[in-house]
Amino acid sequence: MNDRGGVLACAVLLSPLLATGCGGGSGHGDRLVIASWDDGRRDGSIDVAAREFRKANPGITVTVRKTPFDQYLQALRRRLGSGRAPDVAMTVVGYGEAGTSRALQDKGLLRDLTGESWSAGVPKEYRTVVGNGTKVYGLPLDSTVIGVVAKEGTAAPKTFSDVLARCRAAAANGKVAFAMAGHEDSKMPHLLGFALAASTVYADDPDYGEKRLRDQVDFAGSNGWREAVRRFVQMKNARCFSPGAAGTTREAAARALAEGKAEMVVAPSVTMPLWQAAAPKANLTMFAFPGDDDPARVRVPAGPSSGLVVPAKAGAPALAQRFIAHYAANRVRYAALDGAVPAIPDGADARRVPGYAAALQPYLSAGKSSPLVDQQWPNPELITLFDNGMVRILNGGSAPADVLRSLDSAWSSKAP
Amino acid sequence: MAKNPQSAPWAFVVPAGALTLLCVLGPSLFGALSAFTDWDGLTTPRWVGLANFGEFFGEGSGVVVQTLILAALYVIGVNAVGLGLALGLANTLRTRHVLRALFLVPAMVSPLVVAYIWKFILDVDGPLNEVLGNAGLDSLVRPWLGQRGTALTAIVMVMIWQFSGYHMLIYLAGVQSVQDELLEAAQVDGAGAWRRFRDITLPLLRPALAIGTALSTISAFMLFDQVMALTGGGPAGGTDTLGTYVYKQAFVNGRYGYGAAVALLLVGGVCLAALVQVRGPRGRRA
Repeated sequence: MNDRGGVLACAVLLSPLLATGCGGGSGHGDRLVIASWDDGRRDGSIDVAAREFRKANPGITVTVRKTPFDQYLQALRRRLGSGRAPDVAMTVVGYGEAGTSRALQDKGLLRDLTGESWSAGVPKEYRTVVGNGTKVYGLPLDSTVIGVVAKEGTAAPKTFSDVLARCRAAAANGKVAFAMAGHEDSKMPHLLGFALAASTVYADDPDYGEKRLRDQVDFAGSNGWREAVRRFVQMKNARCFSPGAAGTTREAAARALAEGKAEMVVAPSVTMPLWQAAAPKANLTMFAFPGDDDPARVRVPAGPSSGLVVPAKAGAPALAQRFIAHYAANRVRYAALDGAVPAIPDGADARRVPGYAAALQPYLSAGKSSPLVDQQWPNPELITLFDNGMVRILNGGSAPADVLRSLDSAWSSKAP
Repeated sequence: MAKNPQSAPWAFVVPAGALTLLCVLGPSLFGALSAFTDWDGLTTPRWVGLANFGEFFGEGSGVVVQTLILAALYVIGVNAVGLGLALGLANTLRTRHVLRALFLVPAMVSPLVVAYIWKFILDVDGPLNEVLGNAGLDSLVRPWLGQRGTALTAIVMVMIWQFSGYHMLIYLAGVQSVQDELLEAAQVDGAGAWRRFRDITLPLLRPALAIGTALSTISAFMLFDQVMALTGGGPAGGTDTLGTYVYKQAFVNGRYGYGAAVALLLVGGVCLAALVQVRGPRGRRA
């Protein structure tokens, strides 16, 4: 083999490697690639929507690429960062994590969808979650609420004092009122924090989140936030949670609810399948968590949890926008396939919560809702800091002011 | 076939070299360079000089302390237990071959699998607390993975449980290389068991000790799987190590530049610790 032959041989050997490295991109006008997380079901709403869209548009190919949920946002970031953007991506909306819609939007990685026909229907309170208030960058898919999950027949506490009384009564009977999972992976303590803040912060100042984004307010100086964390301490002192709550996993919390060791749990409606799986024979229901002693001031955190976006570097943006328009037109049916209700209501009187959470509907109809708080937190580290602070409180090792100061110190008004 | 025989090796070297460059050296160099940027994995990185390192030295002291505590406890524990097992199973027991195999088995299982099994055992409602409760030892029942002190201890114990058999093998080779004549001569001279161990066996085990401590130090600094599976770094970040901290900063918070800076420091620290341990005994011998 001469030198030229050697080089040629090397080139042949390396070509598959280079092809793999340089390949990607979803491609051409008649091929649509949709990235979605895998929720374990073979035929979720996104699969049905893709199938129906392909049927309605002969000659195109539609591929749904799924990644397990716990790896999905990282995988989406990798694909966007390496120039292999899908045409349509399902993602978590708002801020809160790296890879959610507003974090991507801040970096100029999403297409502006304001001109789409469905965008006018996005509820006003959701427009800052899937956009910046004026422009819309994603179709919000579902509506979720944070409330109390309990077995049907469980009496709902009406005030925060009721909550504390229920905790003391349950503890006296060798049970706990609220299942709580402080294990690092469970990310549950902050949900109760959000449910408390909905009433203590947002009842007085519905625009608190937007003001925080403009750096006009902070956490440590907010009476409402101080009260929210103080009430969490009160709940801990009233033995609302099991003594080992700081190390309990979400699965163990679900077992506690199923076995009756815990009466209730504060959770978002999207996690209902987890609680139901632990108690398959139980009829579970949801009601509002009273974060205040005045029932008129009780607010329910609500908002969309997932959405469809079009990356700025999508290979087939026109087809992607047509797909999203198709999904939006059939949103009620597709949401029902996921056991949810659509984020864009189908008419003024349409239900905003799934049937099991009917008790929360009056709050949403009356506008007594707050944002899902972390959707307005650009730095993903904040949610970890807030959870860590709450867990330290569960272990008796942190003061409310420390928790809020740690949030202020990590605050950034744009996704880092 | 080969007109120029000297060029033939290139046909083998270049593909392997290119693969190494693409898969090992390139990414490592890229990672090292990104430590000096604010790269978020999505947009064009901006050069920030030593800012990432400065931030870590300002905020990462807790993680460094936790990593050092875990490393110290693990290195001492796993080498002490491994050495103890090696001495105990060197030659006297009739069942020593079976016991050696049994002690080695955990080291052959994935650390992740072992950690998940122990997570189940140590769970608040897990078998350990159940056994303690049934035995009337309610005062000992606790959320083992829910408090910083017990969680750190649990991680170390799980690692020692898993890898002491592996370290036993390292020391067994050393113990078996100690000549019986030396020990017998010392015994004739009136040296007791402790004296024989301290003045004969232990000095001759110095190379094995260097390998054992170097390997365990590297494992301890790179600790990741067991922490993620057992505690996820909790409670409240109380068991985060440099490994889990790098992962969370880079992949959860999207701060690849900062994560790379911490990873670079971690690699440097591991190299330094390993170098000191490997060269230490050699220096003394010289």
